[in-house]
Amino acid sequence: MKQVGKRTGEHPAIGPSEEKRAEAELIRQCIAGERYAQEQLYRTYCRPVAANLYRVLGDRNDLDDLVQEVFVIAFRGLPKFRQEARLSTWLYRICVNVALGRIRTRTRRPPPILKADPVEGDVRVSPDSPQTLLEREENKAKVYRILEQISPKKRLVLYLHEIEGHDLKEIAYLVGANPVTVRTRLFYGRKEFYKLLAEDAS
Amino acid sequence: MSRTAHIEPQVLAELCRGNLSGSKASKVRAHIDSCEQCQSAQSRIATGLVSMADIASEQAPDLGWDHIGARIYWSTSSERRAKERGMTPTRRLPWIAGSVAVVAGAALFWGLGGNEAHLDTRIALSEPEPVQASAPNPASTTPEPIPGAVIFAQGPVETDGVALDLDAPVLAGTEYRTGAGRLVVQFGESSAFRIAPNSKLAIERLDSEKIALRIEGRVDVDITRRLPGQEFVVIAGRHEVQVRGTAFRVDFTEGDLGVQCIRGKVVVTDGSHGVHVPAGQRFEILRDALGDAALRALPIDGPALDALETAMQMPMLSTWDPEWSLAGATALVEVEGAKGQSIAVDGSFVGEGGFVLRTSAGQHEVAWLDRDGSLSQSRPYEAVAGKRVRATLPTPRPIQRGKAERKRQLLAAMSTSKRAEQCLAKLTKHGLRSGAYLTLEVGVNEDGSQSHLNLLDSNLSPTIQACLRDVVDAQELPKGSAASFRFRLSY
Repeated sequence: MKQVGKRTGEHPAIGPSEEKRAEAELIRQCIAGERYAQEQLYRTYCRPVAANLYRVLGDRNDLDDLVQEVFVIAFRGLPKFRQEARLSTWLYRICVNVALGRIRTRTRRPPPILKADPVEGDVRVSPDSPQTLLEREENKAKVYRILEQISPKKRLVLYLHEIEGHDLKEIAYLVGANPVTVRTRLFYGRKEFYKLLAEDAS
Repeated sequence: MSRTAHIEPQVLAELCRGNLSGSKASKVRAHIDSCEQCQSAQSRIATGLVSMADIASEQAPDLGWDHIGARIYWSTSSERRAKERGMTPTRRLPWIAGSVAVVAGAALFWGLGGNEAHLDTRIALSEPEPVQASAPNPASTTPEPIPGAVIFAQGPVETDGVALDLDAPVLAGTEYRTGAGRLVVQFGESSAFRIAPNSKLAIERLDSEKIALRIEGRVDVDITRRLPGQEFVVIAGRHEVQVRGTAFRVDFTEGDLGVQCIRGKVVVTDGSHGVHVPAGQRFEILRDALGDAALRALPIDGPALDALETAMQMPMLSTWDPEWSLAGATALVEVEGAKGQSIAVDGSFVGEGGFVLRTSAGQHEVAWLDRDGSLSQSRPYEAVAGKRVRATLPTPRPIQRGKAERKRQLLAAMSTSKRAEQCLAKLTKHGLRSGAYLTLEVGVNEDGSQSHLNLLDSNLSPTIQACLRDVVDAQELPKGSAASFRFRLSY
């Protein structure tokens, strides 16, 4: 899903023509209501969509509902998708908006990321000790805890810039805002975030 | 930056990332070396940056991908169906014909094993929620009877032991036995139930407070609107299917209960336990097993749901006035068609062969599907209130050398073939692409054996082509006409 160029200033436009044609054909079939095209689109992007939502929200509460919401919005909106951006970028944009809605509506922070079984999943592939892994999970939870204290709009811009590595132009497309607005949100968001991070003694 | 002021945290972050220029970085480092507070802040920020990098590489947790996919399909196809329902009857007719073919095609595909991706779609419902009994309507002391009317009848149906009288009022206490026939009863605007063949349905209550139907066999129910406070239940043995405003099918045969819900939500209860069955899900229990905590409603896969919705479409009068004198405002039309001939009235497929349909007075259109699947031109007929009219359809065109019948037989044989399932599993494994096809020329002798089998065209891999060709080759058809035809399998 991270199709948007990272810190390169690359415009999120369609790439090689072959890929563009295949993608356009898939979109056309989906709009025509072809079940198998819709399934192909879903199968291609369900994991990246879930991963994006998971990363931005930091928990898996209702993640399946949110993934569903993203694809329902996408299938509904495909006829209006003008293909000026890649399909993956467009889906990412929907993810961002769904995540923003989620951040705004949830009243309390749910349990932080990967609290249930952090060690079991990684122990086979990581040389780190269980203790180190646990610390890493706690540190990630701390980052989310701090992000939670920042207003949703600033938080999202901050996340997209500092964690996902998108530039201002890309973020402006993803959140549907002016790049100048994005820069302002990022400036204040970073200031708040690093201040909280530097002061956090928990 | 003065010697006394601490370094701004975001500057520390830039330092950690190596984004500061040489001279500025040196100044910042010099301050940090002499400031414990900034040292600890830098340490925390560095740890945070590592965590942010960890977060950036986080992968998706395992979710029930198939289940989510089924829900998305259900949601989007529901929207599509809702839009299509809004089409005018004259526009709907060709669409319905098309959808029959689409559903048949989808059913073939899924029947052949394409449902592999939809296995294990069991959802984890929470503990069965306690079911609250509907409160009686305090405003009404004596519930008002609701008038009902038989809208559609086909084949032999008995009411209370005698042949059905189509003009007899539908009242509480009436019992229908369908035998080989079927029956649709409308009991309000856009609300009706259909009794399937070999079923018995007793109307226990039909009033403003409660509608209660006791079923043995199968009943399809479509309720769009209920009166305020009105309760609707289908009683199946010792279980009740309680309705919240919905379309659903109840199949109660020899003590086994199956409920499939296509719209809204129903609750299956035995009085002490309840299981919610929302739209797009089905629920089955064998013999009084509702107390078993393992019971769950399961999703119905997309094509099956489409097929169910198509099957559950039932004729209804478009306008409904409880004060009506049915005999004075509606007409009964006897439609006589050939056996197996699908017939559409005013753009909606109503039934096959012969049946009696209640319609409003005025002009209506009848069309039918020929056996080769083509839709006829619609024909008008005039329904006169209070009178019974007859619409006799022309004999369907004879099937040329039995081609269509042989094709149908071959498709039916393939849909139950294990080997075909294996081919499709291979196809799925190699990446099933929309538009994949295989065209064969098949010759069938009168005794059902094959006279020839030629592979004409395909865009499938040679392995899959050979696999499907072998499946066709292995089919023995029943005795019938000799025929030679082209046969295209497409996905």
